[in-house]
Amino acid sequence: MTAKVPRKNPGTKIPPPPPLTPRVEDLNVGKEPAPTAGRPRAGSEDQPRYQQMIRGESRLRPDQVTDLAALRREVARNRRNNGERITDNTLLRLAVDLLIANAHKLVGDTEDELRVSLLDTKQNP
Amino acid sequence: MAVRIAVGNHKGGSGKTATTTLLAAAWAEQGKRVLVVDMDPQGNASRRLGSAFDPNHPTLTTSEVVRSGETGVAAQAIRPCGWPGQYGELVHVIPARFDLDNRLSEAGVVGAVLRLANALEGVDDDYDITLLDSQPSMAHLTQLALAAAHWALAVADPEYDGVDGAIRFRDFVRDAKTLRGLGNPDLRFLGVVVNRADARVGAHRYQLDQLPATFGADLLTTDSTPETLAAPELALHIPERAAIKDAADTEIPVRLLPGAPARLVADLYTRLALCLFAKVTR
Ligand SMILES: Nc1ncnc2c1ncn2[C@@H]1O[C@H](COP(=O)(O)OP(=O)(O)O)[C@@H](O)[C@H]1O
Ligand SMILES: [Mg+2]
Repeated sequence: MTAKVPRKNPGTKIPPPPPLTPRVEDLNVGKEPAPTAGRPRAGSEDQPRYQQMIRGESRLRPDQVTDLAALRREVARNRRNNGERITDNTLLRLAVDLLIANAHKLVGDTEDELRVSLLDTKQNP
Repeated sequence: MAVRIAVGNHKGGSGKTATTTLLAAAWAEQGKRVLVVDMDPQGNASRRLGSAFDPNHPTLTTSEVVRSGETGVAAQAIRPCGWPGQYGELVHVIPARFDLDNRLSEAGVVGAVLRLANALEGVDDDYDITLLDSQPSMAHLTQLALAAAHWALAVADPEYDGVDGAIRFRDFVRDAKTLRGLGNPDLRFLGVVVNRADARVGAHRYQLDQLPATFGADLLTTDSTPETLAAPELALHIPERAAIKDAADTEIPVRLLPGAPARLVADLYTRLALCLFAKVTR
C-alpha cells in the first residue's frame, strides 16, 4: 500500500527514549556554536565526554552509514542500563580500537587488500 | 504507519506552507488524522495551525527532537493544533522554533541526516498522513524531512523561478545519489501542485501553458477522476486567492472563513486532498 521506509524493524519493541526538556537556544554565529562561553576548557576532565574527544572527519560508504545506524539502534535497545548514550560515534571509536588491536595483521597496498588481510580469518588465523 | 509526505521547492513563497496547512485541514474534514512536522525555522506552519512558539511557555519543538535524534523521541513533542473542534482533534503538530537553524551546523556528523527519521520511528503509526513542511532549500533541514518521508511533493508558483525551483527539487529527489545519501532508497516523487496561478498575468499564462510539457504526468490535478489523472493538460491549478492569506493570517482552516470565495478554495483543496490520498495509498 504505502512505500516502506526500510529502517523500521518490525516486531521489535522500542524502549521509550529519555525525556526531553524544552531548550531555547541562541542562534549559532560564526564557526563554533554560540553558547560555549563559561564552558570548561577543552581537555579538562569535568567536560561532557564528547568535548573530551577530538573531532575527525571520515567518509563512509552509504551502506556503512545505514548498517551503523541499525547496529547502534540494536545495541541501544539491548542495553540493560540506559545511563550512557550510544551513538554512531561510539561504535566508530570501538571500530578504531579493534583496528589498532589488530594492526599486526594488515598487509596490502589498497583498501581492498588491507580489508582482506584484516577480515579474512583463513589467511590470518 | 502514516504515509509521510515532505513538501518542498528550492524557491520560497511558492506556497509550500499554504499547501501543507490547507491539505491538513482538508484531510481532517475527510476524517483523516494528520501530523504536521514543521521543519522550517520560520515556524510559519506552526503559527498558521495556531501553535506558534510562545517564549513565555517554551515547549518541545523539532529543534530538540532533531538534536536528540533518539528512536521515537518525537512522540514527546506532538501536540494538538490550535484549530477549533474536530480540526484540533485530528490535526496534531510538532512545531518549529527559529533555533532549528542550529541543527544545520551538526550536519557533518555521521548519520545526522537520519535524526528525524529515527525520532519519528513508531511515532506516527496512528496517523493517516504525516506532512513535513520544509524551508526553501535543499540543505540539511530539508534533507532530514526527505530522509524520513515516503513521498516528496513540490509546490510551484507559475513563474520562471518557481518552476525552476520545483524542477530542481524534483531532480534532487529523483537522483539515485541523493537517495543513497539520505539512506532512503524508497523515497518517491509525488508530483507538482501548481499554486498562486493568476491567468491575468501574462507570465503566468505562459508558464501555465508550458507546465504539461515540463512536468508531464507529475503535474497534479485537483480532480481525482482517472481521465484527468491520465491527462495532465486537464490539470487545474490553485489560483491566487485572498482567502488563503486570510486563513493564514487568522490561523484557522479556510473553510471556517465566511463567504463563497473561501468555500470555493476549501472545495479545491478537498479535491486535491482526495486526489493525493488516492495516489499515495494506491
Ligand atoms: N494560492 C494563494 N493565494 C494567495 N496567497 C497565497 C497562496 N498561496 C500562498 N499564499 C500566500 O503567499 C505567501 C507565501 O506562501 P507560503 O505558503 O508561506 O510559501 P512558502 O512556504 O513556500 O514559502 C503567504 O503569505 C501565503 O499566505
Ligand atoms: Mg513556508
